[in-house]
Amino acid sequence: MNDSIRLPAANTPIFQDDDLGEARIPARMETSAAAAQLPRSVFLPYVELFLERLYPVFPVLERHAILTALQDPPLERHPLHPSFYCFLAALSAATIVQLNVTGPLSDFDTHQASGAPGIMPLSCSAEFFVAESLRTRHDGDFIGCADEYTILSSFFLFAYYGNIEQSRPAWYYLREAIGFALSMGLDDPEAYLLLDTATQQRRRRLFWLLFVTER
Amino acid sequence: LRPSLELPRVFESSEPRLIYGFVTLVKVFRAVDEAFLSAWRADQPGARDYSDESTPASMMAQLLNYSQDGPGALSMAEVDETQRLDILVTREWLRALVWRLRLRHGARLRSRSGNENQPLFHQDADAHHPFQISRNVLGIISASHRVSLEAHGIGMVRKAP
Repeated sequence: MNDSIRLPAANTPIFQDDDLGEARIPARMETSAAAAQLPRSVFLPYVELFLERLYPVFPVLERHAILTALQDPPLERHPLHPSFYCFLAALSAATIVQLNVTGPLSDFDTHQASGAPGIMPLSCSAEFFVAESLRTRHDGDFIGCADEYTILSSFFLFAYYGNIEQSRPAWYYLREAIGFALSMGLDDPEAYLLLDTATQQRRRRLFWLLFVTER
Repeated sequence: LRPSLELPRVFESSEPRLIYGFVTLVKVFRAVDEAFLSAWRADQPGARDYSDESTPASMMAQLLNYSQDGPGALSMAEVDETQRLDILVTREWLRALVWRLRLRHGARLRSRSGNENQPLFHQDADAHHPFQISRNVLGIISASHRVSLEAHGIGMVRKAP
C-alpha cells in the first residue's frame, strides 16, 4: 500500500521517485538546497510530540508515513521536498505554541543551548520555525505545485498564529489552506474517483478538518 | 466549505478508534449549517438582513435537546480522551451560541412588537440552559486530564463565553 503523498507531476522529470520521503530535488539544486535546510533531526522531536499529543486533534496524514519520510536512512544528504520541509517547519512551530513547549527538545537544541542553561535557544523557538517555513515556501513553486503538504503548511501556520492570538494572519492562513484545498478539488467527490483508497481517505480527513476548523 | 463530501470511513483507516472520534466531532460541527450561519450573521451588530428571523426558534431546538446526544455514553467512553473532550465541549459551546441567538431573537421580537409581555424565551426551559451548560462544561473539564486539555491549545480557551 502506498499511502505517501504523491508529488505534483509538473517538475517531475527530475524527481527520481514518487515516494514523498525520498523526493529529490533536481541534482543541480541539490547541494545548495540541502545546505540551506536544517538537519531533519531538528524536527524529529517536534514531530514525535505532535504524533503523541496532537494527532488526535489533527488526525491528518498517517503517523508512520510522516516518520518514514523523516527517518529513511539515505536521506540526510538529499534535501527534503520543499513542500514537505515547509510543512515540517510549520508543524513544529504550531506544536510548540499549542502545547506551550518551553524548553529545548532535540539534541540539536541542547547543543545550541549548552552554556546557556535555562535560556531558550533561537533554534527551537516557534518563531524560528515559522520563519523557516515562510523562508522556504518559495523554494518550490508552492502555488503552482501545491500538494497536501502545502495545504497542511498553511493550516499549521494558521494554528501557530491562532495560538499566539494574532487573528489576522491566522485567518489569512486558514483561508489560504482552504483555497489550496478547493483548487485541488478536495471538496469535489468526483475528484476522488481516480484516487486510491488511502489517498481518498487521507484527503477526506483533511477536508473535514478544514471544515471543522472554519466553524 | 460546504459539507459536500462523504465522511472518512472509520474501518478503512489504520486507526479506526481515532477516526471514529474525529468523525464524531465532524458530525457535531455539521449542525452548524446554512440556517445556523444565516441566523448567526443576522444577529451580528449592524446586520440588516432579518429575513431568517423565524429560523432560530424551530431548527435550533434540536441542538438544545440533550436527549439527542449521540453517540451513546458507551461508545463515547471508547473515544480518545483528547477527542472526547473536544466533542463534548464543542457541543456545549454550540448550545451556548444557540441559547444566545434565541435570547436575542426573543428580545428583538419583543421590542418590535412593543409588547412587554411578549415572552423572551421560546420555551420556559430556555431559561435553564445557561446553568445546564455551565454545569456540563465543568463536569467535562474536571473529569479530564490536564494533558488532554492542553492539547487543544487556544481553541479550548476561546470557547469560554
